[in-house]
Amino acid sequence: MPDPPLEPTVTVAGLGADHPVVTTPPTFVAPATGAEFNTLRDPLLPRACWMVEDARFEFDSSFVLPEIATEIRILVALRRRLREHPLSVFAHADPVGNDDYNKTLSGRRAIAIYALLTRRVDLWDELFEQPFGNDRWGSEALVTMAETVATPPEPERPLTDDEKAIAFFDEAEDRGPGCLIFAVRRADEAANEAAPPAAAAAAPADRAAAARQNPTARRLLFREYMDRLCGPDGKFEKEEFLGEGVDRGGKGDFQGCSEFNPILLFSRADAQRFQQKEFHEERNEQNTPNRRVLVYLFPVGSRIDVQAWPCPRAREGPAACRKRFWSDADVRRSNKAEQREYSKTRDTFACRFYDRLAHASPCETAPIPQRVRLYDTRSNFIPHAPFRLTVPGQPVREERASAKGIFTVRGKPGAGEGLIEWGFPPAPGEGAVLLFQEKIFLNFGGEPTDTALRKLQNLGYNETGAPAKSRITAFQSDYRAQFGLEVTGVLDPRTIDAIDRVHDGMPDRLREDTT
Amino acid sequence: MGTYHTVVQGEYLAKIARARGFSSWKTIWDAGENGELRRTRESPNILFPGDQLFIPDRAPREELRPTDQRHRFAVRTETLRLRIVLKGWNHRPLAGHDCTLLVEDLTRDVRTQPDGKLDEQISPRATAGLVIDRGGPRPRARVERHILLRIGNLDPVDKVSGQIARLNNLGYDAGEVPDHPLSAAEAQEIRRSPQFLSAVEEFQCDTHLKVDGACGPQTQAQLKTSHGC
Repeated sequence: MPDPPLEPTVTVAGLGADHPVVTTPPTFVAPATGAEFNTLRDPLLPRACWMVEDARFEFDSSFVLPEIATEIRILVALRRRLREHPLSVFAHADPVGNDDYNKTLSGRRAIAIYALLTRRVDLWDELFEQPFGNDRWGSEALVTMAETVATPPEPERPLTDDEKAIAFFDEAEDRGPGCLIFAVRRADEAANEAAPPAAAAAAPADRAAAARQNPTARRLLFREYMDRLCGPDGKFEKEEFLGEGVDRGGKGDFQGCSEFNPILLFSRADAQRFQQKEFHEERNEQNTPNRRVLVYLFPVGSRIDVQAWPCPRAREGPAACRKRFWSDADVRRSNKAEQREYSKTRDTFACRFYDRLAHASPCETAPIPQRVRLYDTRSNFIPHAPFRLTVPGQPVREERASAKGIFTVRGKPGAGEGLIEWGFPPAPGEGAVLLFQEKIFLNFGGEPTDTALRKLQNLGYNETGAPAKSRITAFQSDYRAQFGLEVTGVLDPRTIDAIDRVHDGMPDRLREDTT
Repeated sequence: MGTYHTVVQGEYLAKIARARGFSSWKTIWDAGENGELRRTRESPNILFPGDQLFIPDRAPREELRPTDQRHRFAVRTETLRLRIVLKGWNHRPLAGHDCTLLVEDLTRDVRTQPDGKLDEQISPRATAGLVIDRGGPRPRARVERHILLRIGNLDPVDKVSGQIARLNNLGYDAGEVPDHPLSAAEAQEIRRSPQFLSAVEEFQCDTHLKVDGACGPQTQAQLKTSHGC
């Protein structure tokens, strides 16, 4: 008997979950008086899923960032409970760019994850030596790897309650736009500022330089980095994947789905606006949920025929994908009047084959998470910011934000507000000091003016006792040049729009001019 | 004279024949009044609720024999079999699987043949059964699964319910088999539903038919061939 399904496990940048257990309905057969027979063929329905977000890759790249260790732990725990369930990797790109480009990019990410899990340093070497578009690992990747393996590993700890489930919505409430922003703006905080940690020691730089020149040294570095990210239990054999490593191109083991299966499709109006260059950064930010990698775990004994496997190889083009498109795939892929999300409409995937695997997956059907970005007093985001999020009715979360200072919030926010404390990443060996503390709003349905005021609060325009007018004035002064605002202290439509753009867009730097 | 019997769900000819005291279902099936039924249904084991089945009177049969000798009369009953072919997702037969078949009062340990087939005689009263599949010779394939059977409830392939049942059996997960006769509107709604469309299109794609999501005569014929009945 299978174990009872656990609650989904949520991390800063990923998810792991069982698929719902479905009692198999009876099989309808006909008895035979002549030559009749009844064929019963195994369906291929996943037993569990695991998802890692774009945050764990370098932007537009297949290079895996060290923080993925958090998510790998979840995959390893899932697999430990579901032994002998074969795995298969599916990587997805966002709709920006053409089908072919995204097929290659998503394929490279699928290769990267598969190689990480199986320690195939040769596959990483191919990705390293053959850049593609913006996916260029280069020296920076080698330095990151060298620095990661040079720092002493954190002691292994069991998953805490804080890392366990947050219950999902049954009904997706209107939480407004999918993104949040957070910043500190008070002048007196400048005195409390701690300097960011010093630059890394010289030794990793030497190692990275050597790895650049010497393939053997490079592969050794890859292997050490992989071991560090996955831990001793996190190594998989090729036979543990659905294709069993039979096909050199990985058919059945890993595949890139290009941009064919987004979980979020912009409205027509947004799609048009995002075509303009000034909105590209915001577009890329909003598209983040689409850039994800899934690993499915299939029932024990699932057997495929690699030659008949519908998905093309990770390095091949998308022609074979199109054979598996829905007959109305063009409609599904289009931008309609309203924004569409897979969790709500279930009609955003073009690939019918993938749709059948994913439609019961908690990882793919979860509502688009909210994202929070943490900034310092100078309006720069804080990479790897340690934080503590306290929301009534939810387990307290004490974690590190991603390399971009972002973490995701899933599940019911309760009252819609909470407390966020955060700071700078500490020096190695030291504990985190959470310097900043603010109220945080997470719910944005309702009147536009109320929403705007709550977003202003999040953006740091929140001096205690200050009336709304002065807060609005402060925002308008700061962003006057950027958005052409008039400093009136009144929430006119242009100001409300600017607040949305800044709050939801979460730019790398908050204000163009800092005074 | 004979009477007409309205077929209900779960009935198949051998069962009806047995219940009516006929030793052979062929007597009923071959009756002239059932010509139209034979043409539309083809198989006496795949009838549809509402079908009108003509049941002739049981004619006494006369056999002349000398009285001063002993004679043996054997009633020849048509045997009913249950034939199931187990396949993996890759369409390869699950050969050599150790199974237990339970149907009515029969419990039998069987092993699937090289083509994945289980072929056992069963009682014409059978309505339900269970196959316990303990897996094959490879150690990795040793998982026990229970396959609950409804015997005789398979509807003809030109009905949506029959299409769903066959698609499900073939691993295409087309949704729940309806538990009541469908109105035209209900049938149309199912035919347009994403789950049904997805299953039909996948089946069409796998069997190299035109992929349009419509389960028309060609697709139905292929379903019948692929499924076995």
